[in-house]
Amino acid sequence: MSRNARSALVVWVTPATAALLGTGYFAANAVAGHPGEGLVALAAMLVVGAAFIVGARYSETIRGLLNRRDERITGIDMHATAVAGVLVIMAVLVGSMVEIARGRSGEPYTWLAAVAGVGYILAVIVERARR
Amino acid sequence: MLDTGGRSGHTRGVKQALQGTRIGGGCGVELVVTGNSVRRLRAERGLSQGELAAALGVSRQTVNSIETGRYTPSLPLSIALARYFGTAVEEVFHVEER
Repeated sequence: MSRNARSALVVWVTPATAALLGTGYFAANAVAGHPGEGLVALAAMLVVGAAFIVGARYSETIRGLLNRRDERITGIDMHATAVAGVLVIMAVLVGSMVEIARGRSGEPYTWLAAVAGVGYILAVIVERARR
Repeated sequence: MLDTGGRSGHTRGVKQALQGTRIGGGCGVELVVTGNSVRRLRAERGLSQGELAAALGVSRQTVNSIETGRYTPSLPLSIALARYFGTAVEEVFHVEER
């Protein structure tokens, strides 16, 4: 596959992921007997995907986030993802503590925290082997 | 000086130098990028930031960030810049030992 063809495909990864997640939310809501709410969730995710596509016409940053050709914007994306991940992990840890303080087992927060910890260790091992 | 241990040690050393990180293990040498000549080189050729960005395959914002020293590019992009201007990386990026 040529570089141009690959770039053209890469641009669609984020919008396609948004559409896929929306479909997942729709399916989950439909299974639960709330197809209407599922449609709202699907529509919201499609709007997010469309916002990326339209925004890329006007913003170099959004364009860079989609086509991943600019190393600085890709770095910003990775850093922002790491920050968001740390925030989620902190929320999970605080959630588990609150649950434990309430006399409960702390689930599912403890499991999520374990997934985060194991995931981090595995990522370090893989990255260490790669570099 | 630069840590040349291993096959890719030199490349790693230069990349770390461009990122302003401390290199050389315990020898205490730290190389820091103190500035660059991208704006001057671009102006000498009558190029806009957008034209240089298009030639390098990056955004105009990235060229601006490099010129103002807010962003230190990777080794491949640094070499691409140097080659585009027909000069050496050391002529484009000014590095100081501290």
